[in-house]
Amino acid sequence: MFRIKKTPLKQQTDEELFVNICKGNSDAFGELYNRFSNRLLYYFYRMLGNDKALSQDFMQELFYKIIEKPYLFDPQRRFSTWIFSVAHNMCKNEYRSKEVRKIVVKNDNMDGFYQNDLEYADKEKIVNAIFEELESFDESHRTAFLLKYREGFNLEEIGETLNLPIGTVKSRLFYTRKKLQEILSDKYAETIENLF
Amino acid sequence: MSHLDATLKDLIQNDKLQFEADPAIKLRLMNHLQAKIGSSFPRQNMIMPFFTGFLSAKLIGLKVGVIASVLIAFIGFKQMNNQSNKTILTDTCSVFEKNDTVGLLKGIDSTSFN
Repeated sequence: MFRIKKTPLKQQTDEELFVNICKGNSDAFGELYNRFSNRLLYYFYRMLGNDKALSQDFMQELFYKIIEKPYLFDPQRRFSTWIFSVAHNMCKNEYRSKEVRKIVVKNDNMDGFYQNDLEYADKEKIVNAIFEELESFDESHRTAFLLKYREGFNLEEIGETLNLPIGTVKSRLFYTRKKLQEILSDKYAETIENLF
Repeated sequence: MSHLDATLKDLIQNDKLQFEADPAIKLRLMNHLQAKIGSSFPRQNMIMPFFTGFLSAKLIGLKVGVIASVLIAFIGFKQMNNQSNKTILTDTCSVFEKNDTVGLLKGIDSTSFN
């Protein structure tokens, strides 16, 4: 008899996994969760003022949405751009409702894994300075920045995620970069020189 | 890629959170998904619920109506196929005569031999 060969979950694309979730395959959900949970956690953490508990809550809520309303996914789109656009909208709503937390939780807890790693401590300091500076931008600037430098999205993908034309994405990234350059060259020029 | 771009990329991509996703979240989500699958997704080999539903007293009028209409349609179909209006033709050219050997013994009364 003929047997349809099934592609192992690890080799399936995000979109294929999503289709399998819709068919009731919970292993496919597990695989998709493994691929995206930490990426989304980082995104929420940095978007929501370094709030650890809130980022966990938002990540959980997003996956609940996937389970509850899978029909929201447009199969014409890439899953990664879609999931980040949902995440972006959740942050936008949070900002609107709370006029977000102007208090940014300073991430200066250095007694973690890298206490003695000076290079890491220096980098951590700069990253924190970057995200503190990003707090003064609106959420679409921040999302564009994270998607480009963290997720490695190209301009087209960022535009698709934020529902913005490529030109607007370009100008937002240019403006953000320019601002960050000022900060970095003012405060951390020497450190950067030593590090890179 | 400019030097600044490369620096930013290196900084952000190597930035690690000092915590990971709570494993309880995955567990909760998986349980939620299982519950949802159990309640809404079609399962294979679901013949019993069909019979249970069919034999229950629920919507009995409708079920009787459906069965009656199926029977009426069936009888009507049989009637339509009734061949009483057709003439049966007999071929008189060939008539076979057969001897009934059982009938031959009927007339013999053995008691009368004495």
